Amino acid sequence: MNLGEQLLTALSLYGLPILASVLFIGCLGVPLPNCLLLIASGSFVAGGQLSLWPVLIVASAASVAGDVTGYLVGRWFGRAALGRLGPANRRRVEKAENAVRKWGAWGIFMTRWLITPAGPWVNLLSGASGYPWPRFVIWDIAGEVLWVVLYVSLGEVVAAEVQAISSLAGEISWLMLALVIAGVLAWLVLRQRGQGSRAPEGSAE
Amino acid sequence: MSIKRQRILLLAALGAALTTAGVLVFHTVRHASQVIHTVRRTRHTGEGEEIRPWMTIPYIAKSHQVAPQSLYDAIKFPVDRHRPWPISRIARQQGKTMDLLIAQLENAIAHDHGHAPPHPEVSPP
Repeated sequence: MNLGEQLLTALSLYGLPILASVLFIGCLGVPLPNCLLLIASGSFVAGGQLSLWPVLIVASAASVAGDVTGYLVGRWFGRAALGRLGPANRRRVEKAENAVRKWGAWGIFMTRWLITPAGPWVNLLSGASGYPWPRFVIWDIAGEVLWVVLYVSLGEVVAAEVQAISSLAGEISWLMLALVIAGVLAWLVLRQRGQGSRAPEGSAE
Repeated sequence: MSIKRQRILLLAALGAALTTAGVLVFHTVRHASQVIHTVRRTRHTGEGEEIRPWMTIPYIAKSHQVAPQSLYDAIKFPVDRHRPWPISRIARQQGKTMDLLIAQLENAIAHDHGHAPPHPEVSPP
């Protein structure tokens, strides 16, 4: 049995504590099959093995707890590391912090449910950049609840095809991440072309 | 770093990201069409997912469109509606190998569907 199957076995034996533990650890960035467990939970809800509301509440709470832990790690250790940077790098960090403040809400929300592989990194970055924690928690809860409801509902609908659907859902998350990275890079290339046409070629930054 | 060098690095990264995204689009679309085809076929024929050790009897019954009771009867295991065990735990408790238990379940499913059993050598439970 692979890791996913072992976790599914544990989920059907022990239920919510396993679901909560896996989601919490997964939201810290440990590569665990969170989507598979959520979809399987939906399937177990459809089969009467688990109850819907406890699954939704426990899964959402565990995911938010994992995200907040990641945020706090970024806030404590990330900010200390940034504080040791030199003045040149400090300017870049300030630019990054401004970008996080500007786009942070959407970044946090979208990486909870659509671009999930980037979620743990966004947690650390949000903490390290000093993104306000009440706003982080609000967007985090909104995104995680949407993620949990979507995947548990999907599991209820496709109750007898958990393996096939969950592998596809995981692939879609990675595809979205690749598309977002390609989009950001394309935007940077276009922006640099615009700056390059105004500045002399080959000049130092 | 010069602007020219930065631009080359950015273009290389963009090329790599677009290639990765293209491969993932191709792979995901192909996988999605396979999943849709499989789901349609299994729902039409009642031929469910391959039986795996993590599955419970109600899950297998739903996947293969048979009554859970007929599977419980086939493996001579009492029904537990509140917390059904995964079949790996059932096999361990009954002292059977996983392969034997899966074969018994597959035979029961085939019998329920009115087909010939796929494992005729398995002794009837």
